[in-house]
Amino acid sequence: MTPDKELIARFKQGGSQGEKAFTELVRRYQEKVYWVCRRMLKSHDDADDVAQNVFIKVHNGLSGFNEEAEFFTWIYRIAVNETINFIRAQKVRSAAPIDDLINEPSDDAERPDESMEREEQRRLIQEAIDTLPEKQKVVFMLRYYDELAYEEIAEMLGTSVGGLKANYFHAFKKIEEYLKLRLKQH
Amino acid sequence: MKMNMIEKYLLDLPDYIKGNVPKSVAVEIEKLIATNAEFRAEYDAMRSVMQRIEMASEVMQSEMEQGVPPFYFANFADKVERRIAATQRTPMERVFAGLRRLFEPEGRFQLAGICAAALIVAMLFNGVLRLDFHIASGDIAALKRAYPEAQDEKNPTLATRVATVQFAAGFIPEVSLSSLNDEEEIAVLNKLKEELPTADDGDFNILSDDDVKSLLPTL
Repeated sequence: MTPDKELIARFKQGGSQGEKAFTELVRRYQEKVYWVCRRMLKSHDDADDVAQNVFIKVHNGLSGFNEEAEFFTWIYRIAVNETINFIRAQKVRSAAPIDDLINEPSDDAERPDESMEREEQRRLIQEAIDTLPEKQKVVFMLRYYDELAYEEIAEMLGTSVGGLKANYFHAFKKIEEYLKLRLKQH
Repeated sequence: MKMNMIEKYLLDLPDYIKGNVPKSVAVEIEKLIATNAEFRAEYDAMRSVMQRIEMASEVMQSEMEQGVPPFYFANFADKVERRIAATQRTPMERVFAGLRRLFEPEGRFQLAGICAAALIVAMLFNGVLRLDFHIASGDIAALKRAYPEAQDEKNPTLATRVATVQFAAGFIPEVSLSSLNDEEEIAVLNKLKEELPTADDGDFNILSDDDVKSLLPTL
């Protein structure tokens, strides 16, 4: 497999070889970028839109990319920032997305008990994650699902490792509190 | 153990439960779990919530994967390539690219929609044109030729009255007077208003023999 650095160098030389090198980079990171976006967004269409925007930004900025940094970290940072910007824009457009989710009618009546319970659990966890503050949510997603090292996340978000650990821990505590609260309401 | 060290290991609990801490840290955490009741309670609560997240995440991941269309990742790079090319095109090139996209598999539904819309507009336009043919000046001229007496305002004879009625009846109901020119409009209104017999004037009941004779063949 051609190393990232070589593909980036080819891209910087320009021409059709450069575009081919870029396409190779897209193919290499498309799934990772898509899933970073998708886990934080509510639909495939939104994730598709944001993931495409990420690669367009990468294309526009790749000529000025500092090769001392990890390409993977750089592209992740763009993905996280694009997703956060998208969520912020969505929040402006729709006033209460979390309330909508909570009040969403479910088709539980048609499911068997076990499946219904699992579905209820999934819904509650999803709601709990959605209520997390922006930074905690990002840290939670990158650490829990993408299993990135704290050092990598710290480089992406410009935060200390200690701060990230606190964010990660408090994300779980918030989820726990939310679940307790919802179970009391039931 | 000092309080700040306990807090430090508390923050490591999620990673410890997932098996992502170095052995030295794991040993310290296990010591705390065994000796510190509060720490043990925190560990139990964290493990419980993480198990629930883990279970839910499997369902969530599977649902999200089902939402990804077939061959999505196989076509993704091409889509990005097209979008990048689109940002680098001149306005004219963008128009041609837009048209070309309509004939590609993804744009066929759009093309079908545009064709259907164009067909509906064409049918509506055709309908309006056909309606116009009824009131076209050619038809009015033909009516005038068929009933020349209707144009003669100075000699209101019975023939003129009948011709006026027939002339007016020649217009289809949906044709309004506004579709006639001023001259035609005045002529028709005057004939209808002034020349037709009403219950109030004598003409309604009393017709001369000559009038009856000339009226009967017409009826």
